[in-house]
Amino acid sequence: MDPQDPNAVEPTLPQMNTPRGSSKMKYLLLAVFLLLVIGAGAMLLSNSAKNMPQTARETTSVSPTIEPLTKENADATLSTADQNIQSALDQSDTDLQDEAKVDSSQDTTSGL
Amino acid sequence: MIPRRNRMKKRSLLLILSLLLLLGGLAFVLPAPSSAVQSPTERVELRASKAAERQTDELSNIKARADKMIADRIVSLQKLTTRIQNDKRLTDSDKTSLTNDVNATIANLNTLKSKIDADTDVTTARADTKSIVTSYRIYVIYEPKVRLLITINNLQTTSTNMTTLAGKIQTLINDLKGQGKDVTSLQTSLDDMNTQLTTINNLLATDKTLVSNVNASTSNPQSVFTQVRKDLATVRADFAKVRHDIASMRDTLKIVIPKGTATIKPTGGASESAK
Repeated sequence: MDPQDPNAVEPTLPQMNTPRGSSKMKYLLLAVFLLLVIGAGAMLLSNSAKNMPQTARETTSVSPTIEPLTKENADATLSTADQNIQSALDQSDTDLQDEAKVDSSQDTTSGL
Repeated sequence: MIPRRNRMKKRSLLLILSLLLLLGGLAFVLPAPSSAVQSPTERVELRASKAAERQTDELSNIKARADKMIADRIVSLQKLTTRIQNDKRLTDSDKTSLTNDVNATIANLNTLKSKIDADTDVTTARADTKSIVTSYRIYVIYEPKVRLLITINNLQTTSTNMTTLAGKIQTLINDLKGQGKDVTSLQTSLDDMNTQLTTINNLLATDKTLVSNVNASTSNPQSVFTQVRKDLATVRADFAKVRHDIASMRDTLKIVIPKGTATIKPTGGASESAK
């Protein structure tokens, strides 16, 4: 608007403020909506973590301490122990075979 | 007179020709002198030069053989390092101790290689090459020793975990006994398991000391290794008995703890214990 123009009409206050004010409101509503969505998502995640089965969570945490043996876990614990003994014996078998394969005849000084 | 003189001439000619032929033949048979004119000094120098040439060749051959011997041993030791690093049962301290020992042996062999490569006389090079065998005994002593130690340490870890588990089983048996359950069979199996584990732990501890004390100067390492292999066979048989005890306890627990009173689920700690 040219301030020198005598025909120019000064805009009224409501005409200037109304569009700017509604835009602000829109942004405010959008921000509140986003906050609500984020909050709801966080609550859902928190609840699902709480409801996760005990065993599933324990597989991710490696603890050197042994939990108490109970009526509930006795059979499974003994089963795992048995499998681990078997695994250790298999490994020792392989190691002893490898040890027997070492060619000691290479340690000779004959011909030197 | 003339024919007689001619005959004499002919005989003389034949004699001269025969002598020439004989000399010619000898020239072929006898070795020719290296040079037409050679002073005694030159001859000594020539002989020395040839001897030096032979020594250089021999030195090169010894060095080449030594390098191969060391390279072969380092390859074996590196395989051993990989085996140690990939192990899941060795404790951190065992892993570090064994790895450091193997790495130190590799470093010493590399130092010996540098010395042999720098040797300038056959006698020293030959003595150093012999020391690849006599000072290290990689195949007769070192590799079998480390492999046996890995086996012993692994079985010790398993035995330690089972001993801890036995303590937990005893607590459970006590709880069940407190609830008025008949735990006689469970206790018998657990007692046997503890007996086997005690035997296993004692044998493994003794064998670990025996094997650790073997070194390159041990006069009869094979007798130690043979004894340890026998003991390990006993340990394996004892572990089989432990497995039998565990199977018995599982069967008994199914009777003592009827179905529906317990949900069976493994625990993270339990699987860790039997790693």
